[in-house]
Amino acid sequence: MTQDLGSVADSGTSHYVDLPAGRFHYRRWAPEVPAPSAVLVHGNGGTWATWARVGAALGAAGMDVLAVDLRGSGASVRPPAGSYGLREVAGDLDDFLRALRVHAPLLIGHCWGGAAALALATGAVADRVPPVLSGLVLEELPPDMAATATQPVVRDFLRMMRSSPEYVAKWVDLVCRDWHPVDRESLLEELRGADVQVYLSAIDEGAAAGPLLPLLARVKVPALVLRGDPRRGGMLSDADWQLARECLPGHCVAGELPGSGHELHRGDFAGFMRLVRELLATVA
Amino acid sequence: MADDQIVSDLLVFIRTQFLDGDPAGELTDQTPLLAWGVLDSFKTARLVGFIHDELGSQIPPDQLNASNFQDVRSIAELVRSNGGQAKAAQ
Repeated sequence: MTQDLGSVADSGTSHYVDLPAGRFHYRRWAPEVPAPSAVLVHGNGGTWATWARVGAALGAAGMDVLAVDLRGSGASVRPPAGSYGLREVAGDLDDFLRALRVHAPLLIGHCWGGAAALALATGAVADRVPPVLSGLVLEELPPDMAATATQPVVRDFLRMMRSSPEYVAKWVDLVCRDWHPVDRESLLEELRGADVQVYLSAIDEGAAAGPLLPLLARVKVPALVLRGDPRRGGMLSDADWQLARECLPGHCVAGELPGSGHELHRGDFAGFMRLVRELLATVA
Repeated sequence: MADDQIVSDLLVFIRTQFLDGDPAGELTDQTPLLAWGVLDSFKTARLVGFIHDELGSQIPPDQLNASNFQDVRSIAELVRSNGGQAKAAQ
């Protein structure tokens, strides 16, 4: 399931879909024959590109993979501040699945995207009947969106969004020197394209949803909940993690990747894919 | 003297933030931080933030590279040459 990508642009193909909120961009890795689907949902400040290697790997494994740019992100519609609550974002995801007739996907979300995926899967925030899912992967689900505001990785992201392109490029090369070049490239793209106002709106308005970890108790499909090492930038403290594991139903698993911080799928791609494969085996 | 104070500030920061206080007293200004894995991705970002926010050093992009983060001595020189000051001197 590993791919030797030369650059982000080599991964998947771009498409657009018109949803009630506007036009959304997504990247797709489509097999030639019908296949189980996976939908990848990036974190705050990110785009589909964060999944460049994950999407390619899942596609190579025979899945029909779609990675959406959430509202205000990448090449998707950018509504004004005031419309970045989890209700709206989860609603977009629901509309996305319906518009493209994606049936029973494995839904994989990172941070903000994980919060939206959880809101959608449980129907707790979106006020919609949850779509049929085959499974759920929640990577670095924040305890609540408000809690992200004080995280060091968020302060770094804001600092880089406000820095010169030259500085950001050197910072990524230095700080993420152990990452795969494609993952460094995708982070650089995200930092250069992110909208500070949207980024802050997603935090402020997402906070209205309140604590997210108790929602885990309402997950009905097989799920993998992953956290990064809090000493390396992971967002869940040991107390948060204990609560998450207590809330998780018995058909779900909690996983950690030693040494990885907030960006498990880029910081430890092989470990992340191993755990996803293990979940897929149970889903199949 | 200024350099010594910057070195001291850096050592205190790294010991307290990254090494649980360094109870064995192993960290020196010549400890190879990158080679020994003291500075992983997250900690490098924390250190760059500390240099910017607490020591007031504006590092130009072309100096933001691994060779300048080899050890505390090289980082202190980077800080000093880019307008940084020890915390006590601010």
